[in-house]
Amino acid sequence: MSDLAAEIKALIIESLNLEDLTPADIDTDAPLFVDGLGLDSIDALELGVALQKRYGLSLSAESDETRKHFGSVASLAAFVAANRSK
Amino acid sequence: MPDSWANPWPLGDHATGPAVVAWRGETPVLRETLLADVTAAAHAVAALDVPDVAVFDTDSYRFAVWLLAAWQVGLAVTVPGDALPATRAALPQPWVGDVAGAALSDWVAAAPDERTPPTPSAPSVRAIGTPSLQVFTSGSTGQPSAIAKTLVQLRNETDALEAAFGHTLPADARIVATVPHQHLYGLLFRVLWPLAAGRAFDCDTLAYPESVWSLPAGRTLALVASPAILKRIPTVPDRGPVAARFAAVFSSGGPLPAEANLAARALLGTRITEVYGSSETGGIAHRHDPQDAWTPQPGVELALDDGGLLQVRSPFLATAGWLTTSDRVTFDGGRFTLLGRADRIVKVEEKRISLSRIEQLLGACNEVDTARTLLLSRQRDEVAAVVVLSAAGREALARDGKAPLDKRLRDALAGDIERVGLPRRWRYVAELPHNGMGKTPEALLAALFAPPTEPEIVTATVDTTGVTLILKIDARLAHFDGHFDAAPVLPGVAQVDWAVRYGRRHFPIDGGFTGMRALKFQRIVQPGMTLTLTLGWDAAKRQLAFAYTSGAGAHSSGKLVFDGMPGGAGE
Repeated sequence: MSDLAAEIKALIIESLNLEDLTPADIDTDAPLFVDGLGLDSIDALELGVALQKRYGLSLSAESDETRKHFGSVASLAAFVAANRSK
Repeated sequence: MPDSWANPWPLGDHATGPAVVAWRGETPVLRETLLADVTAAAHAVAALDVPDVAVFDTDSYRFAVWLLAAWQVGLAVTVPGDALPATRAALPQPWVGDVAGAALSDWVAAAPDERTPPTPSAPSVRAIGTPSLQVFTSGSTGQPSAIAKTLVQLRNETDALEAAFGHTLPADARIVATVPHQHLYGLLFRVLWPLAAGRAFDCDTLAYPESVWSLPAGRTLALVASPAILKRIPTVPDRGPVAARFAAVFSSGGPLPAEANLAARALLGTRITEVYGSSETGGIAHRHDPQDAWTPQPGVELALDDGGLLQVRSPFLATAGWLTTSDRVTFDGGRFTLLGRADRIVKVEEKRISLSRIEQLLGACNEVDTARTLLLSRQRDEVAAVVVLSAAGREALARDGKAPLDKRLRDALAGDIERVGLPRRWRYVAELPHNGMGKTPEALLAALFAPPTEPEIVTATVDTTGVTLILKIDARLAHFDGHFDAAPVLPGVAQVDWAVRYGRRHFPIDGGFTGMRALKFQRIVQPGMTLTLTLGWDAAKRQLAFAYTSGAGAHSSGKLVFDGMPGGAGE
């Protein structure tokens, strides 16, 4: 698991205030929303803001594209690596 | 008023030139396209040969076409709030729109012989004024609460919207929205009202708070928004000023906190018009400033029932009589102030969630004996559940652990409860906490979710010299909150407080805490550490000696002095 993926897992747990979960419980390739981790639309909003604050990303308003990046920790890590400004 | 089925929802006078009814991105959809599409779709819908359809389409223009087409051929239309499996199963009529397995997902351009609208088939022709639309309360539960509306009710309501707000919107104002048209608020504000008033609406829904920064600057917009989005717009970092100009910003679906209202107002450059109402009642009142009382919508009459609940009578209601809401209010002249809700429906980020329904569904799970739920509003609104497990549930907890059981119970609810309403925090208890009268007030349940103020005691050993406690320092301890976010450190005052608490538990200390001696803090304490606390009580000197140590060495130590007066001044 890449360091960035581990960092993003920690960010998810911390920014969404998830209980009883450690980074090890989050499967890097499993879906974050609905199935898998089971996050909801409000989590998506909160996580989007947290990612922008931490990495200086700019999320596209095109929701289909953004949804793809939010598919899993692995896809988020790839997106962050390619687009981070801090 | 709809004057015939051929013209069920008369279109307003769209701005002259090529009359634009909708925008898909920067591409206009013209009125003549709409009329041709509705005719084509009406033929397709009529060919289904059914009395009613469910319409679900994520594109507002396509949704409008399906809706107008179905009405034109006299069908009753159900507008589901979502396309969850339980919703699909509960609505067996054909679905049209962009859902998997829809009976119709597209209309084809009308053939030359089909350019006249089809006429309603005889059995399904309805008199004007019978229910022709069914919507669901937002965040519907497993037994969705269906609301029937006639076209007359809907038209009365859009007329009232135009009377109350139309003067603020120029004829060429473009309607953009963050809320779906599958619920009444979006349906009225972003589709039916613009169609009736001759304003153009956007086909797409703004999904994220940051979407407002990508709205075009050149055109005057009206934003139909939800508090969930509005309150997060000011939290989006580093975006600079919003370029778009708004003639109006509407907020409905739940309360918008005053602070968030003012922050959003500053960024969007216009006051936020809050609209209070529900799917059952339609719009009841509005205000332009969070300090203000609520002003009734044109045509709405208000009264107070014996229990202090607001009653409403209006041409948007299904019946001519008074309807009692679940909101407690006080009147101030013709206006009113909201005091709170009187039932167990809670709003989670604008979605109405029935706590009773969640409890009922949990109670039906094999793993559950009894369940109670409550709303917590901290970082976000969230539902929390306190569960007394059955024998099967206790077995599952022992075998699989807590997180898998949490997930299993969440999954059991997922087909019936909107995702944002699924419990996010779970506590498994031997019995529900109760007060002296055997009741379980919500405060006792909420206390189970408060951050702990004491560490977990792994072992406690008592011998002749004193007490030795092994303590686990969990990151969730209340003491770490804000102390400090980047590098959490257990405050020294917490270490002293615990020494006093455990000292009183193990020794006959009945006096008040008066002072400290030889206090030393040598090493910081961080989340995840395991500490050893040793306590010794010198009864003659009335002194409690404490020391925190770990594998790393000594963390802190000192002597705490107590006076001889029982129940003395608090520590």
